[in-house]
Amino acid sequence: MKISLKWLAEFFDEAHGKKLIEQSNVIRAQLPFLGLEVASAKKLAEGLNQVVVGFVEKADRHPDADRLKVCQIRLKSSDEALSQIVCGASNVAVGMKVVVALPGAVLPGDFKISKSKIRGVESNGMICSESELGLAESSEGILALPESAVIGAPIVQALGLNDEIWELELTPDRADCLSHLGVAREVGRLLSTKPTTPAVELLEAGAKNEVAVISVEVIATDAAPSYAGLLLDGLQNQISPDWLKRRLELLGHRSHGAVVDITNLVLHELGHPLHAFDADKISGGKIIVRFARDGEKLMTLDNVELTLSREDLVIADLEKPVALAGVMGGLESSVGPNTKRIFLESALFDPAVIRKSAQRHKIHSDASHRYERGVDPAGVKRSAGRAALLFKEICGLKKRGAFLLVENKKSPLLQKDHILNLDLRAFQEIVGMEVAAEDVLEQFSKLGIPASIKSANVLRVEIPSHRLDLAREIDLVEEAARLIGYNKIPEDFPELSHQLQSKTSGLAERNDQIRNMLLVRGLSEMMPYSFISDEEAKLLPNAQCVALDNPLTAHWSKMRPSLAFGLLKIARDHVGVGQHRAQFFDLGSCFASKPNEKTSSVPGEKLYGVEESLHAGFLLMGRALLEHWSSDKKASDRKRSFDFFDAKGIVEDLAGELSIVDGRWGGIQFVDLESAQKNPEMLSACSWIPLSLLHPFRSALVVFPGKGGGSVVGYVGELHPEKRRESLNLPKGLDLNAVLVELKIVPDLLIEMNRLRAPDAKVSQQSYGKIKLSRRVPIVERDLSLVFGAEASAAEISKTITRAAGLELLELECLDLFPMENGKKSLAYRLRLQTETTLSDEQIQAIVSRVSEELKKKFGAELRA
Amino acid sequence: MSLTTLVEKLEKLSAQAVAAIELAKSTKEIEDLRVQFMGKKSELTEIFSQFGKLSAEERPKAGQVGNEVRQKITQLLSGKQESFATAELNSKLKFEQVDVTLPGRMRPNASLHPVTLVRLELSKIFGDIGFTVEVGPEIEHEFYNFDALNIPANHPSRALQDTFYVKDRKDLVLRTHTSPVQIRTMLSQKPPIRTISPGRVYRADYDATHSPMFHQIEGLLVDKKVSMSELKGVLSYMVKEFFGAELKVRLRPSFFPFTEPSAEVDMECRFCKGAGCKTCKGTGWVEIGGCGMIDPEVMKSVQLDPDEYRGFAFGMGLERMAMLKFGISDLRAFFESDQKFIEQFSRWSR
Repeated sequence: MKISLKWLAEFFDEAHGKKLIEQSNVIRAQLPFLGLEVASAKKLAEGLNQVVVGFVEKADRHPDADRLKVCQIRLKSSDEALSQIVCGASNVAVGMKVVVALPGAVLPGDFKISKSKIRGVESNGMICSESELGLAESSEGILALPESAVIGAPIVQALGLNDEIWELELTPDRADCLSHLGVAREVGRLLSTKPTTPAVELLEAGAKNEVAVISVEVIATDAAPSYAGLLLDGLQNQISPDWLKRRLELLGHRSHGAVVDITNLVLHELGHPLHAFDADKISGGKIIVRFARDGEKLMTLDNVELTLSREDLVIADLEKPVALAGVMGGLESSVGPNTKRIFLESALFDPAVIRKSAQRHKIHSDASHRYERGVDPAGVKRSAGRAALLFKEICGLKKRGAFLLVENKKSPLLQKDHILNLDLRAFQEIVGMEVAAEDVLEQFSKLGIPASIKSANVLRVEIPSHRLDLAREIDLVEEAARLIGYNKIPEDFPELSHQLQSKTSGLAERNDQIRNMLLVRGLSEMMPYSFISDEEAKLLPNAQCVALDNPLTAHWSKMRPSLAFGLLKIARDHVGVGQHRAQFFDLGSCFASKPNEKTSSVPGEKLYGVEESLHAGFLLMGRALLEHWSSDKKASDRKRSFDFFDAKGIVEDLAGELSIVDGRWGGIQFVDLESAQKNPEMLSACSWIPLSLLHPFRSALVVFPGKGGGSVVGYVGELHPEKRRESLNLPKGLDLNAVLVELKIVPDLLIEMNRLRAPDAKVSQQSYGKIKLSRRVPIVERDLSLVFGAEASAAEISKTITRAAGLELLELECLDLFPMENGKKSLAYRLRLQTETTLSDEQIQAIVSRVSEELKKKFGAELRA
Repeated sequence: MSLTTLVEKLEKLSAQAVAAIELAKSTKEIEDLRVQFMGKKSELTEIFSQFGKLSAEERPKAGQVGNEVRQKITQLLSGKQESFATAELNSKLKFEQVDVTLPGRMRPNASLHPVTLVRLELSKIFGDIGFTVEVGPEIEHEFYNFDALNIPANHPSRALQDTFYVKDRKDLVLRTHTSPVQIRTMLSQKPPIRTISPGRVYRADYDATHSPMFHQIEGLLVDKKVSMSELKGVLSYMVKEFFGAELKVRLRPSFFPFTEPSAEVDMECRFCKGAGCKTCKGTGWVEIGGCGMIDPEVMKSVQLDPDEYRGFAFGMGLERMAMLKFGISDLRAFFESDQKFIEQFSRWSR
């Protein structure tokens, strides 16, 4: 909300008004400590020295430029020589009074004006637009001054710019400050004085000798607990006087003729919205305040046709709605230049009703802004009286009708004589600061809140009708603390009244554990947005995405069902700047709409059909190994890209650390996509996995074994060679591979793992694995090279070897793999053997034979020469 | 041969040997000289063999001189030999010399996200004074996000936050703050309660200083006796611990539907220590969050008797705290996800 300092000063006597203007910086700096945030303050005269009123005597086309005009400007009323200025505005015309910045002026934005030649023609200054003067954000053409402007006068004087505009950002509770009077109350406290309330015309409802030409009927008495109307006759809706126009312009209003300008003035002066109807357009001589009927139409002042519903409160005549109550007037009944009689409305509406209407129709007006926050019930009469006085002074009002006031005295919104007690002991306990009753009384009195001592520790406070925010004792506690000053509150420290356990919820702790595991593996953490686009969502045709009702852009229309899109976006951004090697992770919530399930990520919590699950994902792109000056330039491994096995290794490490279910393997299994495709149940659990982006034969699902074949908890996959270019936005001539990994940190799974880890859980010792003591006997190594059929799986082979070798096997390493021409594959393993005693050659041979026999039996494996 | 002749021969031989050894250039030459002067067929051996022919009186004298010469040559040879060996080893080692300023073999320079780092640090700071960490869902029911927090429908306070709504589910929102976790906590735990709730929040606002997604951390303390001065003390403790400096905290009156009294929290600008600089726009103070005493209406909505229990709550933006701590000027850097930007925080990550 905008406040004019000059106007604000008029609320005080001359001395205090002068003090306010002189010390405006000091006063303004104190407002935030009263809870009134000042977003900006602007001294209008700044940069407007040497800017004066000029008169365009001649405006000829520039000889060398079609769009420029060479103007002869009179800068003094006497017939002195004219000043030549080149102007590019299309609206410059002979006979116009304009704003001229003379050479030497420095306009806002440090714009220096000097004599110059424009396309060879001398120009002695500049004719200014509003934006060049810093009076508007943007403007079209130069500013045309009114006839009354005095030629040669400084513009600061001509436009009344010796003012300062404060932009206040008020919290919704301080509706009482949405006016100059309201701010003056707070400022008055700082000036140690009280503001004077503007003069009003005394209005008396039901006064004798007054006739109501238009009658008022309030049907919706709860929604409109107070409705006042006044017929004003024989006035002229002329152009407003300059002071009024200027005052409103400085506050951001265009002038709409004296009648509307007066209502706007009162709105900014007293904070109470008023509306003026053209009385001759009110059909049937009757105003009815009622709820609309579904489907009723109203064309508003700004030419928008609204379709109303029965939740919209309207002001209607006998035929139709003429205004959306408290929000905006109708076009048909609006006042125009020929209006002779107006019906002035001053009312009090239910804030919730107004807000609903304003929101439904997406209208935000000065009136709705105030009504939504609540207006002073006493303002109904005062504002009408103020306007009546101004109409008399400005519009030559000849006669007025009776002041009609319809009140619903039972309405809670009209509670008068609101008395609250403030217990100073409660204040002390809540705020933690000791105060004397007298001090609090003084603070309240300075703000014009009458208060007295009721008993030793209790104050009796009369709440003024404009302070709607003071409804409970706790509100008074805050008010007293605010007035005394939050800076007076001492610093203390809460007592630890009970022994509190410093424990962290398991889920949060686990997330950080995963973060650290990925960090030590060289991956950096990223936080892409949780939103995805419709296009991205199409890559998961079976996923039920949570869509936003009001997305900021189409790119961010849905909540991510998978981390893949964010990871790929980051990869693209890195490719875009030539950072071809990247390894990073994201850990956060993913979402799925489950309209038929009451599920949630929070254990024990039902969240209404949205599943929110925690995912950890990472992406490895480009070369697997960091370049080093010492590396063997001939080694074939040196330039290899990250591949499936780099990613799988990290997943295995993670699984191993997250769970001790089966030693290093953490119980998870990797299922190739070909097998997964044959398993409909498994496939149905993959709706969140972007399978189409993955290499069909170099990717795997991560499965946690359990009932029904286990559950899919994630995937590890290289990007599909045909999709890489698009997914990574690769420039021509560059090929890069990337591996994408995502794991669902399924809460149930984690809980299961936690249970297994917990030392006090009833878990068989076997779950921890058998711990072998250290042995001092030398380790024996034996290498085995065998030929297997193509279908033999490495996991099965390892398992077979481990089982056959028995307890003597310390470690098993897979040394080598190479495919053979006949379609078979050769695998080499190294067995590292150790027992409590030195193994004899016979014993070693026996183990090796056992393993070979078993492999032959199970896989038909042949030993290689 | 006379004694004199023998002595002369020995002295001559000694002089020859000294000269030859002096000129030797390698361990090989020294070995050759050893054979030449000390070997079985050397002149010295020859001279020693002549001692038997001398008289008994002359023999000890000759022996003494002979031994002196032999000792001298031996010493010179081994001395020279040693210095050659050392030099040769040194030159061999020198050949293996490395430039110690070349880069070592390092792991990639990975880091946690600064928002995570700030969250972890604040969690620890509050953990030290008995605050536990609680989390909650990001898609919330309006009851937790609004109603229970005294933000009724059709009240302007709902408009304080630009809310994202879930399509076709007007009762579900992307949480606009982490305060719903406070509601969940108060509903599920009995006082005394001390928790902080960090997490991701969303608001439909996007410009240079607003992101539609960001992170907050909120604190909650509920007990029988709680005051605003204690709130101030806790905030002051947090600022000192987090920024590691004696920076003052001040409260300014404000409005939040869920607290009464409510306040904005400012702290002395950590860059200029209150003197005024670009970051604090010359005021010496920067805003870090909001706080207040829990509104009795909120207490009622979680079935706590406001006459028996009181509490305070406070909230801050994690990005804001990270910007102040690390001196980051642009909010968007947190979500642009540039590995090189993130890597700069690696030294705080470990």
